[in-house]
Amino acid sequence: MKRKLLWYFLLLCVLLVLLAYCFNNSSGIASGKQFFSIFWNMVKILPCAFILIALFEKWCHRDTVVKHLGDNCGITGYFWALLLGSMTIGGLFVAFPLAYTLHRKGASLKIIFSFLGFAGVCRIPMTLFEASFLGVQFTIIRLATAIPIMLIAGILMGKFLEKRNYCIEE
Amino acid sequence: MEFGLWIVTGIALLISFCKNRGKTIGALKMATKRLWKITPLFLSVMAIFSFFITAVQKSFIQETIGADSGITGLLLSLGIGSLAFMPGFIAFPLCAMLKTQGIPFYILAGFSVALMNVGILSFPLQKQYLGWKVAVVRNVTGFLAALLIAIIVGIIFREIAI
Repeated sequence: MKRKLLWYFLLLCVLLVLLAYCFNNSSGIASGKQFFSIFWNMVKILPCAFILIALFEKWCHRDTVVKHLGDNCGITGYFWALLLGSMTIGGLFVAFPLAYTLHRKGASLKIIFSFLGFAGVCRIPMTLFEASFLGVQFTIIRLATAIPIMLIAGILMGKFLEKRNYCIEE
Repeated sequence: MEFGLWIVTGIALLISFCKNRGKTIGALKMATKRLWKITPLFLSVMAIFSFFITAVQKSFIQETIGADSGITGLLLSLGIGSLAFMPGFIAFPLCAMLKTQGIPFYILAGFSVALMNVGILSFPLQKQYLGWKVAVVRNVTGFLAALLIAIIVGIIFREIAI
């Protein structure tokens, strides 16, 4: 239903641009040209981004990573938290239930909050998308800044909350 | 840049195909299905964007979020990122469209990182899992992180002078 509405909207746009061409309306023509230049740029990138994400999802399963997180996972726990965070698909709706599972498995709050931070900044599908559209250089700089910040924030939050015997709700 | 992307995708597909045909074909099907599903939304965003860009004076966009917008531009992009609720597959193309209009990288970084880390609209959901105090702390840290990341991106791309 919603998609049908969008198609109608697009049809209307096409008609408007055609009208603009007929009556030689300069701003309408400019809009149309702008659209095609953007469209062409997107066509060059979009299929690749979607194929890369689909390949990633077919080949990587997060269950293997969850296995490594639990009691006494120590420093390597942060590495697995990073990996799990980057493999989380679907954003917060998936990340929170997963955080709860980890909590029950005995992972420390420091690791859980680091994971939640990582799930926000370095999900691989999103990162692939970002790198495709804004360039690899941008993505590398962003990741190199975001990962340490999220790690520190996660550890601090975990430490603070562990003192208060905090529990994650289901 | 696009050329490199096609090469990487081609190589990834080739390796995947050699290792497992079924999985690769499945992935291709999944990609096509998803792409087709978002096409109307995507085209609409592009149409609205092109209309907006031509209707609004270029100087207005430059003054609000352009290279000379200073701290207000950055705060505006962070604010919009915190409030907005949109999937990344719309957000990053939108960033790329803005980039072609000469919007600096640090503004785009502020917007996209805030979008992913601060969720004012998804706050009820966060509250449910984390309790409201922790949810507030998490959002505030997310906002500060977005600010910091934006500044560092700006410095490295030489868009912010120090």
